[in-house]
Amino acid sequence: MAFESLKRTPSSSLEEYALHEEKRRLFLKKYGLGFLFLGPYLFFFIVFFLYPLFKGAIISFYHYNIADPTDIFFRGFQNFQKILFSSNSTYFQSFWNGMKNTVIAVLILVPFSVVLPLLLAALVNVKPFGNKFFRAVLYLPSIFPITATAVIFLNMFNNNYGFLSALFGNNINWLLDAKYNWILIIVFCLWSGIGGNFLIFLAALQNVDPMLKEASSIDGCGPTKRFIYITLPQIKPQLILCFFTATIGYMNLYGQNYMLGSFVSDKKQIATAVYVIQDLMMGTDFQVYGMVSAMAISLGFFIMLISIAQLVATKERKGGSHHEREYLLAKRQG
Amino acid sequence: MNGNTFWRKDRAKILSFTILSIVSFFVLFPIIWAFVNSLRDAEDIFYYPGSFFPTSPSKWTFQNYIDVFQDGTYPVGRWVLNSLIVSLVSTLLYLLIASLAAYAFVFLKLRFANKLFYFLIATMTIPGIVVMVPQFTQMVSLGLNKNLWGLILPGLGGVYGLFLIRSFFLSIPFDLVESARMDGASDIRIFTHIVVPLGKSILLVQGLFGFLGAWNDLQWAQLVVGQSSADMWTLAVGLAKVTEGNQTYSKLGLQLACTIIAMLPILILYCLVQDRIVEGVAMTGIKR
Repeated sequence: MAFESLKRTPSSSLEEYALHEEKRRLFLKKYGLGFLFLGPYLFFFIVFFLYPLFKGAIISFYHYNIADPTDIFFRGFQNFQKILFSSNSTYFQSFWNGMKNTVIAVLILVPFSVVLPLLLAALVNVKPFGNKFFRAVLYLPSIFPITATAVIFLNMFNNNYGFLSALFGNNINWLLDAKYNWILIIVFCLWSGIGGNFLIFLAALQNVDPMLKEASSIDGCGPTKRFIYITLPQIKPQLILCFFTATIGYMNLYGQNYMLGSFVSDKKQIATAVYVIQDLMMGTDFQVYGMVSAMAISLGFFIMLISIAQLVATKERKGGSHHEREYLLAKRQG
Repeated sequence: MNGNTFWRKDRAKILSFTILSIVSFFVLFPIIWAFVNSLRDAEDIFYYPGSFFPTSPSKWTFQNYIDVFQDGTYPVGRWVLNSLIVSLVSTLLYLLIASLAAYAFVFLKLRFANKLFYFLIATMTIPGIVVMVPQFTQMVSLGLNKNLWGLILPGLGGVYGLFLIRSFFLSIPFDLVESARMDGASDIRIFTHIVVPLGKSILLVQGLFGFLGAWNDLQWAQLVVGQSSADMWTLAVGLAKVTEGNQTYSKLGLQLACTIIAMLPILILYCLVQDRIVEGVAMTGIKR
């Protein structure tokens, strides 16, 4: 059979030619179309994402000057070595200081930005009077530009004229004292940042099977127990998602500190890792870009580790292994 | 027993209403404070010992908003225009490009489409900051820094929006497209007459988030236009500069008026399509 179909007998050649031609036409049409539809996107993806990605990886091994293209030479691992290991370099100090601030902020912010929105979502999910209004209000700060809302916070907490300091008559300098400034930053991050997680949790809670809840309450589960044993396992995917997006998000903490810390004189105290990088890029030193790229890659490496942890955590719950186990079980049973 | 559960449910509702009311008050407070104070003149804000509302009805004033545009210290009107241009152009262009690409991925049965798509997804794990540095050097070498195009173009290669649109297109019945093809409709026609109308809701969601992202963006805008003359700044960059240490607007009311101007378009958008935004956020959480 197979042999016959391969043999080109004269009688079938016209048909085959037509078929072949048709195929070619279709092929051209398909790929021409593919190019038309996919081309513009791929162009921008390659030019503005892939190319910079490789370029960044390459210049992290170079001395690179954006003002002067000829001022470029290979430095091997020196950039990374300086940033990561040589403790007397200013890059080392600013990078690790930024990392330290970032990690502390993450450790404080992430638990709050999972637990607080979850509690609020649970409250709204009780569906009290006006729950739509509450939902709208709780998400509201998240959609405003942080530059705008940070200006409000800066003025509200200014102890020369701020309403709050007048109200409480206290003398805490929220804007100049780095310690209190951090409290302000954290409050601001939570105020403006938990809305997204809140909505995700709310949607997840609304999807929890009401039958399960009912069954458990018939079996004598109290509301607390029900929440821990019935609700939480059901919204586990969203918990994982929110935990990781919050972690990755706050690893990139920048704008909040830039805005709210703008009056702190010793910027070191409020500088996060991204802040350090951004500060170098906005500076007037044009020849540090190899170094900056190396710094960004070093930070990116740590963020990437978190992303990989997320992938692992998410994969587990997709239940590939679970199906496999079931399949093997079924197979064994015949 | 029935009455008992009813009472318990009711009590839970009252409790949650009370807590949420208090939380909402604190959430809204800064915004209301800013709005009220943008309608007071500076002296009245400094009034001691502090008052939430203007000290007398005659102290309500619209002057700050007039001053913001006429005072001439900063071209705030220009910033609004720049922000609008960047947000609208980048959103619309991205929607067009990404929905075309999503169509190709879903309906064109290209040979390496799936592999290519998985590759695109994989690049999403690369942290933005890694690409941002070389992107900036690229903008400088292309001469796109200090230019609004520098804010628009790099975003057009974004993967996440494409991912969203594609996953929505996957839910469109394939038979519909197939039968249109049978009837001799070209792919472009299918795209414009079937797929886009059916995918309107996801395009709206992506458009909204694209707009919000561009309007709110500080980090990239600061790099690209932050070093150039004040005429090129977007509203976000402008606001950041206004508060920077020594450049402060001496008048608090002006700052707050500026802030309200930056928040207003977003607030209007939120009031109009709140449900869509809420759904959009929730969907990204459920889908993954």
